[in-house]
Amino acid sequence: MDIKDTLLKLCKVNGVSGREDEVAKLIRTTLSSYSDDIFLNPLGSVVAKISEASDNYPEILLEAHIDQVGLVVTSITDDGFLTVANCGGIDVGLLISQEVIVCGKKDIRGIVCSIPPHLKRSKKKESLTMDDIYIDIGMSKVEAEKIINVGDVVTYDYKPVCLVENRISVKSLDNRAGVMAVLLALEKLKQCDYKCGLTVAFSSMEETSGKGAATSGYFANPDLAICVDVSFAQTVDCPKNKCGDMGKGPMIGISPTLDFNLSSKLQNIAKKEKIPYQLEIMGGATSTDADKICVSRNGVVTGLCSIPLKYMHSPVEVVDIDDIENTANLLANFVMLCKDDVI
Amino acid sequence: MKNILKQLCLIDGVSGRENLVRETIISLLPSDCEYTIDALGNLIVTKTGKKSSKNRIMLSAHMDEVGMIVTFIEQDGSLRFSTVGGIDPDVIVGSCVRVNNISGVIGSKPIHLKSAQDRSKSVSIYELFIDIGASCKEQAEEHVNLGDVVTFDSEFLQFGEGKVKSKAIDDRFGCAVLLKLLREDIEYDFTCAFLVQEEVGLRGARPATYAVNPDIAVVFETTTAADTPLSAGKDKVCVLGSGAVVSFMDNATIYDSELYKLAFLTAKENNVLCQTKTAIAGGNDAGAISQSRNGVKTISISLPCRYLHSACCVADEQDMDAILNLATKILPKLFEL
Repeated sequence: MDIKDTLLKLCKVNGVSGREDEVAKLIRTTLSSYSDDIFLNPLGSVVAKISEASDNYPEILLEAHIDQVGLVVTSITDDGFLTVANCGGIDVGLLISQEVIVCGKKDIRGIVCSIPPHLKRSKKKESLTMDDIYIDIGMSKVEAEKIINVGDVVTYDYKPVCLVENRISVKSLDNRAGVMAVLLALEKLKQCDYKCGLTVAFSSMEETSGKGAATSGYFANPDLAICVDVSFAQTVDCPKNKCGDMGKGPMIGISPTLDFNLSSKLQNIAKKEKIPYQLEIMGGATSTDADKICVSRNGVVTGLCSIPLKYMHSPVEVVDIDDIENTANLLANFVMLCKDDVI
Repeated sequence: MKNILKQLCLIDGVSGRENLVRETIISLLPSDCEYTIDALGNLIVTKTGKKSSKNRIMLSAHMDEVGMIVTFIEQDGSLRFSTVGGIDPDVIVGSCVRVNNISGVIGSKPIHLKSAQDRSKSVSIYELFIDIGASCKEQAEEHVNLGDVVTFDSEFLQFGEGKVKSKAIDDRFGCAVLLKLLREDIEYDFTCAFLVQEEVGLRGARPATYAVNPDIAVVFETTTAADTPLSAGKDKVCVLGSGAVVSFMDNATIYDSELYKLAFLTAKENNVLCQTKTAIAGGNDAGAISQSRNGVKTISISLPCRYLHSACCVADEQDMDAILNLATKILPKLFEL
């Protein structure tokens, strides 16, 4: 499995929160190499049973969300411009001058309008809101209405950039990087013997409501779960205590809402197998699917592994491929080495 | 026109580093032209016609584009920069760039880590940095030097109804027009000046105009069209699809009124769409050209362009055709004025 190649394929397809069909389709196709038992739930989450547990071994769930942040069309102006609303947390400031794709009857290119300097000077605009965002699709209203409906979603354009070292920048690394880590773990596990039961879940709607994970967790009904997401990698402008370092491996989550034993177990396995890792300490809920899965049914022992990522929710998110590989190694080793004593 | 424009737009030529643009233009010159390159890098091309006019005509366009320049390398390998030419920092957040043939991105502090106050604020250039993927200063220094210039990484694409999006339409469009005119069968001698450093103070225009010493100058440029829902009425300045923009005044020049009227008359006679700017905004090489030596009668014919000085300039193909059309019709009249 070529990681960069597969990752870029995952990032290229669109799956704005609530409209994950394309991504779900790609994942189901990929999963068919590992499972005959794949379920697409009514909210768009994909759950696949990989193996049954041997006696007294736990059922493990590895989970990653498949949706990405985006926008949704709210109207078409008389001049053929589009107004939009947020679908997931996009910083309005990031939208100015961006190239986007409007997913209408076919994909349409758009540019987010920017305020020309001569207008900026005359009106002292201190704060920007979604009301200031218009998308230029270069069409009249009549032409636009043939292809685009209110309610269609809008994503950042796909512009992959290979950076120096083993890093790439592309839209939707949050959370296709997490998806990649789980798929890569499955690939590694294919060659291995392990006694734990394994299910994988690829959940919809994490960026908006978390309902995709609530429902996929319900269906999977595991004994323990590890959610795989992305978290903040240090850049010069971010507070040190909230960030991990790119290239230093998966960030193992520690929080009052995550199982402390499971967090410790993950660290021990990383140390034993010489997998680089870091810690991410949070004071409360994690703002990931872990929050939903751990309270599913009677409760699930839950942990969190995050891939360090720069510029979250921007069109130029950056990850280090080595971090994805190390996360996959940690997940695969966890499944192989996990025994009853962790619960 | 579109093919030449695409070829020119995709070249990197930030102010002061116009070499590649100049070399490409030279390679596209018809064989019956002569050219010189001056100390600043201006390319001055003379075309000999069948006759010499009593009016020495200079047509101009600038080769440089706005961009950035690397000023400092942080310990973590990120690159600090200054803008070259007037770029609003808000339009470069979250963009892809190219420095020294290496790809980079200008990211943004995640919304989750921003305070409520910070979230809607305009960003300052000092907060931004370029990420080329280096994990430390030493690694960055293997690929990039202080003083390297940075360009937008932006494809030339057609979209919508007859629209084009690219970086550097300002002013590779003007250069494309000059190249087309040089290939026309024009009766009189004339000079085309492909200028440097317009974006950093109309600098190339000064020595070039001094050397050419024209009587009349026509500047081919792009100009801000704010015809989006963010502006109303006269603040739209000019409109895509409404044709060539001939302005009477901008922040740098009060244009020659005789030439201004002649442009509109010529457009009307030939059914070419023509409009003016409804706001005094912007400025171009005409500002420098018009005050050369004893003064030069100058007009500019511009392409209305949305989102100027960003990676995604947007223009209308119809307007491009209108400008070329107007140029070929007005040139003979200028020789005989």
